[in-house]
Amino acid sequence: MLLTCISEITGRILRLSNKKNDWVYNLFLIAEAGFTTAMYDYFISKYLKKRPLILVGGGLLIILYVYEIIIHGIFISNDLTITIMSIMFIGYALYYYLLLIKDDTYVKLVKYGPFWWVAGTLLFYYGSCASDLYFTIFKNTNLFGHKRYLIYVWLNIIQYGLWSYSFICRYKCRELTL
Amino acid sequence: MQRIDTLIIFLTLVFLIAPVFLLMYVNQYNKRKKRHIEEKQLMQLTFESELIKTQMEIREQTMQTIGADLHDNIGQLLSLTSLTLNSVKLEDAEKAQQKIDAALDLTMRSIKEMRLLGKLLQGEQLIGLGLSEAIRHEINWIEKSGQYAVNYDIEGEQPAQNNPDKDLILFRILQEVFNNIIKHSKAKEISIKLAYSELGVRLQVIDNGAGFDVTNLPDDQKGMGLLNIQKRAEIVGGRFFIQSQPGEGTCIDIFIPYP
Repeated sequence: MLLTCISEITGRILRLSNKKNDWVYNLFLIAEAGFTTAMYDYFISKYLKKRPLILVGGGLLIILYVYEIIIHGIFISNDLTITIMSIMFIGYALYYYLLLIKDDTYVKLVKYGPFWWVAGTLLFYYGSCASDLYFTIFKNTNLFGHKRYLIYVWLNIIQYGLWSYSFICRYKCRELTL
Repeated sequence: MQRIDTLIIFLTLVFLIAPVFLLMYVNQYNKRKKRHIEEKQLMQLTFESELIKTQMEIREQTMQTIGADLHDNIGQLLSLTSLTLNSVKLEDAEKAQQKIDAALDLTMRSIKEMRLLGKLLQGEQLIGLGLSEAIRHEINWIEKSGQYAVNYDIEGEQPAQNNPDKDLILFRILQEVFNNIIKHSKAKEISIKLAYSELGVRLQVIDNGAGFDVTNLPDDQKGMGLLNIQKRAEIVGGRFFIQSQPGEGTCIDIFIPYP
């Protein structure tokens, strides 16, 4: 959360002073990909002992990230890595839900933290994929920049809202266990 | 510009509808899973209570048989022994010897009957040795009356791993069928077939008794235990078939997945 806030504030300051802020988000991408992959790994570990899919996905992201940095440096956004990462995280979310519904044990979803965390992640990356797609389509119209920013703000609100709720669920669950 | 804005918002919403529906589907599926788990628990409870009921019925049946045998058979033999011994007159050595021999014979028969009763008491544990053994024991008891000619066939290999719960239920069904034959059918011949296959076990009981109209059972015969048999077969995932015509005997066929 601290890293997110630092990155967002730095990015905003640089943008307001008409400087490029892509390098900030490129650096933040490492933390974002690492944290989200680790969380998925943790949630899926409840159902599977071996998770080669997560390992392969993580490896692929590292290769793509390094490749893009080598090709165009850190001051240009790593769009390919972001797109592939978004698709991968959507895939992980669908896979997690498949494992959840295939599992024999019943969980009360309304108060089940992992369900809401994955829901927030799914909605954010699904929306960001759509947003990136429109951006590609409308980039020549020069009109979409602001709308894209607004969509991201709303997606962030949805994601962090659901993540916060999932942490509350987790906290209450721990309270009950204690 | 306004149109593009509207289009963008519309398309984003359309895109977001898909994951929202997915989440709703997961939630719905989860609710169905809860119902399924509750149904399974209820079925398990019903199964367990039915099993206890079956055990109680087998015990009750055994006690009834023992009671009847003590009264009608062993009691009579011992009374006769007592009478014979009382009538012994030692002055007439030859006659006295004859009566003592007769009393001895009656005592030996009583001992034999007592041994059979002892085996019957162990009969409840016989199921632990396997269903076919328990059935054989039940047949021995039926044959002892001398009123029925029983033919018993076993087909296929009994699985290495038994299912005592299913054995118990099948054994109780057989007892119920025997009860019906004794009470209602007036049969002389009974044919029993126990067939094991990869899919399960099949128990077939055919008698040459009076038979009845399966589709039009009189009110006084509705409590014949047929519903009980059907319920018990279904509780272990089995099927129950009955074929009968007045004057043409009855064929009862039970199939249960096994083990």
